[in-house]
Amino acid sequence: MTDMAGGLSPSRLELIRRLSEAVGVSGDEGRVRAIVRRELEGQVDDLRTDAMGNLLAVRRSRAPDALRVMLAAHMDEVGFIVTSLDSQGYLSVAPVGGVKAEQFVGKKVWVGPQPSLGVVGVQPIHLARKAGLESRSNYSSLRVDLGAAKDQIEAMGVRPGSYGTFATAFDNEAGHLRGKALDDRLGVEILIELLRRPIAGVDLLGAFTVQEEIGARGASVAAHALEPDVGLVIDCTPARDLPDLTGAINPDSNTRLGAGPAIYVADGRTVSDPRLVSMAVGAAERLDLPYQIRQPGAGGTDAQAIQRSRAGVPVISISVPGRYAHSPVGLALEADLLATEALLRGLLTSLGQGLPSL
Amino acid sequence: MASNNDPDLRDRLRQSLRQLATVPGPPGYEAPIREILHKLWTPLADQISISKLGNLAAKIDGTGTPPRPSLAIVAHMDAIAFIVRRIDHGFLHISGLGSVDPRVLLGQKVTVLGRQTLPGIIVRPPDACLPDGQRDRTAAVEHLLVDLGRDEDEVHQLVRVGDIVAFDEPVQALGDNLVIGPGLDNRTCLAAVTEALANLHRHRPAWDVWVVATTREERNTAGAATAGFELASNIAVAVDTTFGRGPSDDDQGTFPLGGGPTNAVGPALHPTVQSLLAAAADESQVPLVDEILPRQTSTDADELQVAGAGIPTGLLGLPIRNMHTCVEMVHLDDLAATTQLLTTLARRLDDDTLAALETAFDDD
Repeated sequence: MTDMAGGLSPSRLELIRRLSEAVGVSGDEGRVRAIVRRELEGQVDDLRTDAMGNLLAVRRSRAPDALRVMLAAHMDEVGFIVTSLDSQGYLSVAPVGGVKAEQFVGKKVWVGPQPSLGVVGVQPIHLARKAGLESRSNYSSLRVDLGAAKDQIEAMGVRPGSYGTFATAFDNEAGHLRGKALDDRLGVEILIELLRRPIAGVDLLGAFTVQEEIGARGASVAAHALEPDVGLVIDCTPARDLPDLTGAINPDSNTRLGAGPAIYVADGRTVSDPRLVSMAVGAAERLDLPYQIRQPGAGGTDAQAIQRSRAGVPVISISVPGRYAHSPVGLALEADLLATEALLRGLLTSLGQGLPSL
Repeated sequence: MASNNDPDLRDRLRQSLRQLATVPGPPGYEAPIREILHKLWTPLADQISISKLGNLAAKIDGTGTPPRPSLAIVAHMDAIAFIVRRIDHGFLHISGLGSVDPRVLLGQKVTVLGRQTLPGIIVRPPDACLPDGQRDRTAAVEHLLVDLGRDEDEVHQLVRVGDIVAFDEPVQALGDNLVIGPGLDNRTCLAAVTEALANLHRHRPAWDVWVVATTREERNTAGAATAGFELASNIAVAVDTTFGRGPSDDDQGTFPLGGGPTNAVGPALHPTVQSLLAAAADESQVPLVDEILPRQTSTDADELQVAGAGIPTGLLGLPIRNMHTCVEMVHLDDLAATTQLLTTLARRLDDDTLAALETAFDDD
């Protein structure tokens, strides 16, 4: 059971740790998929991987006229793909998803099938020229250094086309979750939890999607297969609630950490179905949960693809607020994650009574 | 290779690095690393002392007839870090203690040494929070923030302006030969001099030997300046990291990992000491590469040379890649070679050495 006052159970924290530390860049989500599959095996009515690599997990209601609700959380994360391996054993890379080169500088990375540990170094500050110190890094000058010769690297299975990302150990202290890829492994973990229990009057159509970070490509295929009546997307959205030099908190913070689940009215790609917005707000208030409206603005989730599936699907996204997505280490709060899960469960319960007609 | 006659040396050095590299010790605040070295060195020394500026000096009594000449082996123990400058909405503004590189700090885990130790992350604030002129460039350290994920009141209770912020990143093996992590500058060299101290304790040299861990090198080298004066040794050898060649470097002034330590050559270094280091490398059968430094060395050697009445000084450089980052990288063979070279150097010192030093400039 969810115990919000007591925080996450040790087994859930352990699952979040494994999900966060798994390397699963868009196009290479297999390690994450394997973890999710193992968690759900025998717990759902149908579990299958589709042609793109989405993992579809269906838990059917006994009710004959159950509402078909697709729940999507993306498995992939941002990272890089190897473009070349030079004679000295250094790798050139190109970004996969929206991650700035400067985030990798001076960091450890995991790359290739094992994956192998490497570093992204930099010319020491003592030797660098002023211009080099001041300009933001770009991918053309980034090199991944595995500390090994070319033939050793080839023996590790690392080659052009190999994927990699930040090598960040997850940690948890005082109700904080710190790790890489919290966007969207927190959503993945919540979806696993939601699928463990039935909801009356709702067929739960779980979609652990691929390639969200490069344009929600997995979700469109998953939605086509699942044919939902309603689509709910569980993601992790930026909380940019930091102060400027005058001490004012960024007014365009998108969300705030610790303020509860972020309900989307509109983002850069999708206007949420207003009925679902009302039902989500209603569920939060009924359950006395903290919640916040994500500031309408840029960005997008798998909802953009699900909404346009077949003849159209009413959708909404609900996200855990998290700081520093697409960086070596993000920060989220257990309390926000638990409230997001509780809100989604409340919304699903409401949907068990049906979606009001337009 | 370097460790042929001591097959366990590389393993001991790797273990020693794990123990030493991640201990905080910013310039002026070296107490945590000094305490560990004090414990390690006490059973290996005939005398051990802490100076007014916090240098730790361990002495090995030589076997020669007193009064004996002495060698000082000097490695700084401080490591770059940060200090809290301002607290705002529970976020910390920081400044570097030592030359920290603003390019490598984004998303870096740190430990704040407040009333309790707190985990934090260094972050670049969103562009909206940065002033004009900082948005399209590497944000200066003063514009980065440390996020503790705690509310304002809690942070004010636990952290104060002036508290230390240290890197929170483990030291790890990379393959069989390499070690990566923060603080390899200069804890690698402390690992090497600790092993050399143990060797000299077992088989004593003729001269007295001081092994010194200095303070404040990354800030103003005040530790070495005062240690040089206080110990007034006949020879001083500074041991510090130098630039290992990596993918971003050209081959001028950088040195390949695994190619051996460097022997600094230039006006800051004494020609006789350079020769002694070269001869010790030959006898130890370890590689030693000349590193040409036309001006000062930006190490403790600069201070030792001019301390007191002047000390004939040498500088051994241990190549590391990515200096002043959390992914500094060292080759264990270079570390083993440095250990062996220092041990051999100390044991070769005799009356002839003293005569050579005294007559070094007689042909002028």
